[in-house]
Formats: sequence, structure tokens, C-alpha cells
Amino acid sequence: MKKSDLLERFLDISQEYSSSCALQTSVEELSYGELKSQIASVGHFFKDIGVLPGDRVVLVVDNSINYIIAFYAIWKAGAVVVPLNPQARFHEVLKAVRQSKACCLLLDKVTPQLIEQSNKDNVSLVSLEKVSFDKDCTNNIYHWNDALKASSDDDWYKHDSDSLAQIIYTSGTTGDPKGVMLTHGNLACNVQDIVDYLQLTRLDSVLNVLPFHYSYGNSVLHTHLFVGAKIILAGSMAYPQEIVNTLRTSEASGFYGVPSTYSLLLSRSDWSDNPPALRYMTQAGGPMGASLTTELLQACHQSTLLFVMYGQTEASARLTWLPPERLTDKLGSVGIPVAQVELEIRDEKGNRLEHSNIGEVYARGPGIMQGYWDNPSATATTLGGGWLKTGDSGYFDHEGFLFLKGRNSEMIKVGAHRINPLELEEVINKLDFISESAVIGVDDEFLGQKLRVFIVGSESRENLFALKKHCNEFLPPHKIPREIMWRDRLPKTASGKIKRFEIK
Amino acid sequence: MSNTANEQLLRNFILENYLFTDDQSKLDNANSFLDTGILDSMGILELIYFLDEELSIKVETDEMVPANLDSINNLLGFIEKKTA
Repeated sequence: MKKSDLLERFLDISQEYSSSCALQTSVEELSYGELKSQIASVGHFFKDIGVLPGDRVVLVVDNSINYIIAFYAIWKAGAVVVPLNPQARFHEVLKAVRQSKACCLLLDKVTPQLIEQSNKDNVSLVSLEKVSFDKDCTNNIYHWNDALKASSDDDWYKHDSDSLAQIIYTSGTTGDPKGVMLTHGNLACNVQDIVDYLQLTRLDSVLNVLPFHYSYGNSVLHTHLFVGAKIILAGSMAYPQEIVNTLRTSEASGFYGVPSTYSLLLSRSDWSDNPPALRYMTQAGGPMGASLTTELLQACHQSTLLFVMYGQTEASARLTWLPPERLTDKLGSVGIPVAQVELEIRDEKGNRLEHSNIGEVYARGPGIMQGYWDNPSATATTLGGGWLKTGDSGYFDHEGFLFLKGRNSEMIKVGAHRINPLELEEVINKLDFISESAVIGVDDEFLGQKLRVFIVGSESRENLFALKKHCNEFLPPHKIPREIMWRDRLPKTASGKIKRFEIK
Repeated sequence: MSNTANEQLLRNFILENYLFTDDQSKLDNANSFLDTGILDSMGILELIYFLDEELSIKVETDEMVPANLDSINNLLGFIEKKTA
């Protein structure tokens, strides 16, 4: 087995465990053999429609068996996967397609706007939903069913460990989202580290509620296929009791969540009868309060392990993990570095600090990204001398356990989403009746934070509707402010910058 | 409150807060909130607060299922059961 290629590993696994269940939903199951065969067909289809090695293919598909088939089929064709939030609006999809210079776009559902634009930009469209198209635009539009029915071949592209595997767009601290470039080597190293500390085997099965387009969900997907385990695709977290019921009936051995997942489960479901097969749970995606961690531990059966973890998209996913047996005596810590990651705490000048001193967390290792796609200035700010500047501050205790003390930026964390307030203000300020706005995160019982926007402009019911409608058109649901407040003015610094932290 | 009054109250809540319109034709009583993307998990929680505050309907943990909450029709059926 070559560690450098998750695709090659998948081929070995799918041969060895051909009849084992790989993917399961409430209505269907797919064995490793069946999954491989469908990937072979769709990979062949991509080549047929002109996708070449190194090309970017944008994937705007909800968590599903089709998402996973498409993802590995893109790799089979030698191309690069660019997953986006399936709820992304037209403008966001268009921006990502253009920024990544993608040649192909795969969507749950195409819209007339996208058909027209893709036609102009000469981008192929593949629609998962069966729709009829205008005859003038059908040249570059394809149906997913045709991709699944394509003849298969055994020509699986051989990737180098340093070839680009994936671009994950992440909210940056300034301006537009940045495309994190991860190679096949980056992903494979990090997957191996995660598999090792979670001790994942083919006997494991995960009930997954995390979106695959984020690095946390992405790592769940690849780690399980890496060992030949089963991925059970769960529905939305909107109905927590159904998730708990499925945990019991499916006999899943693993469950992954962000703090809001556990907050919802504990407050909105009956957890008193611990799912008997649940071997472990993991938590990442932002700090979880000590009280919630303790409550979760108390709710779980003693035999269920809880892994607290910390990472970044820029690090493929995972930087640290807290061994479950140390959870109680290191409560509040995100643990120790994963096997192939090295961490340092540095001061503002970049000097290394000794334990107990608070500074910025720097990371190094084979899982660290190559940089931001087509953004050398952002890359130069974040990567230097082989180290990643995480933007998080924290300290090591005397035993080498990392404690985070917040971020050095204004990013807002809503559930699993990192949100840049500047990006939202840019959208909101486009409305004529708004002169300026400021978005902040306020504490929320379930989501960690929720969005509140302060508006300076002409207040009326019509304008409130217009603002909500505008947000709905240009922003996905998780980026739409839940609270809107009107103000006569916003507090500013002498240089005119909004003092975000002073607004309440 | 009558069933018709409840229906209007619920429809207005969804239209104003999630569809951002007064246009009644934009919401079909049979449509699934989740499948059509009208509500996400946060929206469902807000709906539960709304039921409690405006209609004094408390949603118990085991009642938090799509069959009770995932469309205007399901909600009306659920309210009828709770108030019977």
C-alpha cells in the first residue's frame, strides 16, 4: 500500500472487501465492489466529456452516495475536486468556478441562470436531477444518470503524492473565501494519523451528520473508506431524536460532531439509553465548553470514548487529539499533536515560546496545505519557512497538552461554519437604503454563536423585507443574520474602522 | 384558536421569516420544510419556540419528528392532536 494515494488504497480495499457494505442510507446500501464499479463508470464519463488530469471539477452536491461516487470518480479521471456548500447561491458557485478555473460543474439541481452562464464560460454541467433543457444550450449539459450508465474502464489515474487532490474554500479573515490546496500526499498522511489514533478498522461504522464539503466531514469520508469501514448517511440534525434512534438501530460504532451537534442531542433528544454499539464519539469544529463536555461524558456509557480534537482546513483536517483517558484531567485542552504534526507556540515576532506562555499556534508536517489557490499574497501571509500560522492563540502546559485561548481574528463560528463578517457586510451594503453595516457573533445556546447585524440606513418594514430577501438571494442560510438591529451610527476608530467588539 | 387562524398564523410566520414575502402563493401547505430548503435545523428550533410562545404548544423531545413539524399540514395535524 502506497500512503501517497487514497484512490489506490480505495482500489485495494474495494478488491479485498468487495462484498462488505461501504455506504448505507435509509433506502439503499452499496458494497465496496458496487461502489468501485460506479466510480469506474462515472470516472470514464468524466474523461469522455473532456475532463483532463489536473482539471478542476466543482461539486455542489448534498451529502449522498452520489457525492462520494462523484468525488472518487473525479480522482479516477486525474482531476481535482472542488467541493462547495450545496446551499451556495448562484453568485458563490459562479465565483468558485471562475476562481478555480473549473472545466466542469456537478450540481444537485441546475438553474437557468447557471445553464446560461456555463454555456458562456464553456463549463460542462452535470445535473443530478433530471431536468429538460433548452435545445440551444444542451451541448455541455449532461445528466448524472447517463454518467452512472457510462461504460466503465480500469484506467485509474496514478497520482503523485504532491499532485493537487482537492481545493476546499474557506472563509478567510479578509475579502473573498480562499481555496485551500491539498495534495494527495497531504490528505493521505492526515488520514493515516486519524485512523491510527481513533484505531479505526473495517469493523467500524460511522453515522455521519457532518457536511462532506468541509474538512471535518471530508476526513470522516476518507478515513472510513481507507480502512474498509461503513459510512451510514444520516439525515439532518433538525430532528435530533431521529439521529439518536438511528444510532441505536444502525449499531454505528462512531459519531462525529461539532459542539452544536452535541448541544442539540443533549437538549433535544432522549439519550438516557446509550446506543449500545457506540465505541467512540469525536468533537472538533471549535471549542466545546467544559460544562457541555462534562454533560456529554455523563450522558454516555462508560465504554464510549470521547475524542476532543482540533484542526484546520489548511492542515488537511487534524492537528491535535486528546486521548480520551486524559479528558477529565485535561478538561479544556485540545490535546497533543497527531503523529505527523509538529506544533509550536510563538510570539508576535515569531520567536518560539516555552510552555505556559500564550502565543500563536504554528504547525508543520506533511498534512499542511500547499497554499491558497491563485492567491500568493494570502499564502505568503499564512505559510512561511515550512510552518503554517494557524491564527489561533494558545499555550502548552508542562506535559505538552495544548489549550486554545481564542482566535486572533474576527471570524464568527456558527455551528460548523466559519463566517467572515466582512463578506456578509459587503453583500448587505450593496442595498441602496443601507449606508453601512456591522455583523457580529452573539452567544447562542445551540450554535455557539449566531449572527446579528447592525444596520445604519432607512428603517421600514419594506426595507426589512428587502434586506431579508437580498440576503436570501446572495447568502446561504447559515450566513443570513438571525437578528437585525437598526442604528443611527456605528462606533469607529480614529481611522474610520468599525469597532466591531464595541457594538451590542 | 381555530384551525384556520392557526394556519394563517403559521403561514405568515414561515412566509415572513423564511421566504421573506407577503405573497401567499409562495408557500404550499404540503411542502416539506427540509426538502424544499425553507427551514434548516436552526429554523426548526425557531419554529418550536414560536409554537411555544404564540400557541402555547410545548414540543416534547419525542414529538420533535418530521411527521409533526415538517410542513404546514403536519403542524396543523400536530396542533390538533395536542389541543384535542
